[in-house]
Amino acid sequence: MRIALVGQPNCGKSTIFNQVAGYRSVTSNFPGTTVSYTISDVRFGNRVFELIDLPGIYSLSPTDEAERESRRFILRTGADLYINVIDASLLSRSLEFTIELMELELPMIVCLNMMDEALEKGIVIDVDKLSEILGVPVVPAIAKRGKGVKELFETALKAVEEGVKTSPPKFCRGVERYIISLEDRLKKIEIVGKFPSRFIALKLIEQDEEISSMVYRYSPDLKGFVEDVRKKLFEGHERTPEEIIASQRHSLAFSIFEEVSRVRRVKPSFRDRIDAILLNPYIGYPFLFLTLYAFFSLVFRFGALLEEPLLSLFESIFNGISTTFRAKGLSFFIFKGVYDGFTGGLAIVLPYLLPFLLGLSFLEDLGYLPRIAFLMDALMHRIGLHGKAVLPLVLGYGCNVPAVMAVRILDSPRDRFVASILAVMVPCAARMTIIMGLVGFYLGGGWAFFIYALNLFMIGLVGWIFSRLLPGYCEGLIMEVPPYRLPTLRTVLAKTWLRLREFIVIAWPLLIGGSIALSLLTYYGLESKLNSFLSFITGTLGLPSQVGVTLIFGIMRKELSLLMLKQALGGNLAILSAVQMLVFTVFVVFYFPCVSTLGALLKEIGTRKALFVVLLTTVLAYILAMIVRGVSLLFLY
Amino acid sequence: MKDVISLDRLREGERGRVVSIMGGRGFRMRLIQLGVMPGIEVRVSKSAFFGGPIMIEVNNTRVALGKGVASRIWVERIS
Repeated sequence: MRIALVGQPNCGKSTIFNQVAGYRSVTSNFPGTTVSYTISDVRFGNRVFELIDLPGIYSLSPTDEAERESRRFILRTGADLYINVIDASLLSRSLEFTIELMELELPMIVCLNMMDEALEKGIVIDVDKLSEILGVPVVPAIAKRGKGVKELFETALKAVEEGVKTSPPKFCRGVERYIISLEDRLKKIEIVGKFPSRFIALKLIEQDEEISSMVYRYSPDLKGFVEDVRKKLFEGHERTPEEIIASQRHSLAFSIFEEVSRVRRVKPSFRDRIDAILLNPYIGYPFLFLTLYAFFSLVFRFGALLEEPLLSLFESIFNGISTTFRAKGLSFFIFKGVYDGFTGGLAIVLPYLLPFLLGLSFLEDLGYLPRIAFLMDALMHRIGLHGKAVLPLVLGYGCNVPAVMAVRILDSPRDRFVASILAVMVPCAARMTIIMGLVGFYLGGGWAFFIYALNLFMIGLVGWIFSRLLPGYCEGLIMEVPPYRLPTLRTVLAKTWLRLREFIVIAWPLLIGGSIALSLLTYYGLESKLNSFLSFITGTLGLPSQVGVTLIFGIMRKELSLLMLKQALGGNLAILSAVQMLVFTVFVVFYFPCVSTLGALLKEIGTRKALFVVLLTTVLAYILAMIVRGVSLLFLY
Repeated sequence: MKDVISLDRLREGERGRVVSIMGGRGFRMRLIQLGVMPGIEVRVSKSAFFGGPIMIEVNNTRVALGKGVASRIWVERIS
């Protein structure tokens, strides 16, 4: 049995999903966090079913990739029951989508989520009356506190057993008669198949590409009839048929809303007043800069505080243990590999990663990211994108993989391509540990800041160049801005753990494995061969030849290059000169996206474009590293 | 003659009723999805600065619109 959560963006589908499936689906306070669907087996009472968390979708006329994914699921795969999740504080608008689901005659129930926010806005909803009007069960809930979730799934299971049917409400007569006349034609030619005739009729009038081409392939003569209907609708209303149908749904939704709810006037909330201040240009920009600066310095301070004692602790333990090995044989090298990989993850990566992920989760759940997008819109236009593209870029600071996937929230392929090039350039948490653990730790926080600034500048420059090279025009920002929400400690911790687990389960074993591999290469004397092969890079950049092999391993995971560098240099990073540290870090920050990111790129933008990104970033890394070397040689000596 | 202007020219706090939207089908559909369509009343809660976006309130939600987008939406000022 399959149950799918479906609803408009940011209404809390993933929150409900996580309540019953454990924390698996990332939730954030901005529209479009879920870009592909998550499935989980859920045991509820003595029943087991599959629960699907679909990306948010405003209407069944999708305009971006994430929405298309949801629609494909609804139209092609399908579920035994749909739970239409609604943000109760946005009841009127959400019902427009509910009506569309009813046009598909889907088996569904409604979950009125965020009842607390509706009350805060002064909206009191008569749940029973809504259920009566829609003809389906309606369950109120506050999912982030777990309220109503049990009742929701009890109702859902009962609905599957007893069967629920929906039938769409009718539009006004002037519009309805054209729909009926088209439906009659459709019924005659018997191509309706698994979709209700009303749904197909509406989609034909709306000129939906997929449905139209499907229908016209079987009966091309219908095209003229639809054109005629569209013309008559336009003449009668002076609006495009799409607008007419949308406003029909809008007024239906609004009249249901008026019937089932009472609205009290409430004073503008505290949250609205915060927005008035934070989006004010004179306060907003300095505040944004200070917030990000404070965030990164806190991460750095916290990490550096732990890195030093941990490093010396592990070194003294190693010195103690290594005396027990009589000769430096194979077993010693294997042990050294395991030890270096394990302690490196603990001393160099985790101290920075943990506070970073906590902070990122908090900022995401708070709802500050859409505000960043708003503030940065004008600037983003200069690099050929619009404000919404800020979201994938900011996500990139956590990990490039979700960042590359998040370009799906952009609507044009051109924007998606440019945004994915830029997203790959954003230094992810792994690269952050190199910037902070090497440059910040040994050279000071100012230099770490310099790397970030250089990176931002390069992202801007590359974006600016590509926006001029690639044909096409940027449509502009159209984005919903959700209210601020104070994150619950539980979700922030759960999300941090979800991302941390990624590091522990996937990255850490890789670090240890890579470390063993390097140890073995050294033991068999292959390391120097690889290094001399790569000396055309390391030599020209003025780096020690031992760096060569670490660059190869860095492609697996970026942290690996630093940990292996430490190992390759005999455990002491401090023997690198300041210039070498900078050159190495700049190169590693920009070069070759890691394997997982490459996988995401291949999936999102195709092989050719992905390979182009690989080539571009690697060449860019080399040139930048050369420049940094040249400039620092000029000034430091 | 009614006072019809583009949405980006409404001042902060002013209201307007959408009269028409200039643009292709995809562009109009995206606005319709967020409730911006002819006949709907909107309120500008943050006007543009330095060519930046504006923020409007429509249907109980806030929607950010780039300046270019706002300039293609025609509204009738409501006083």
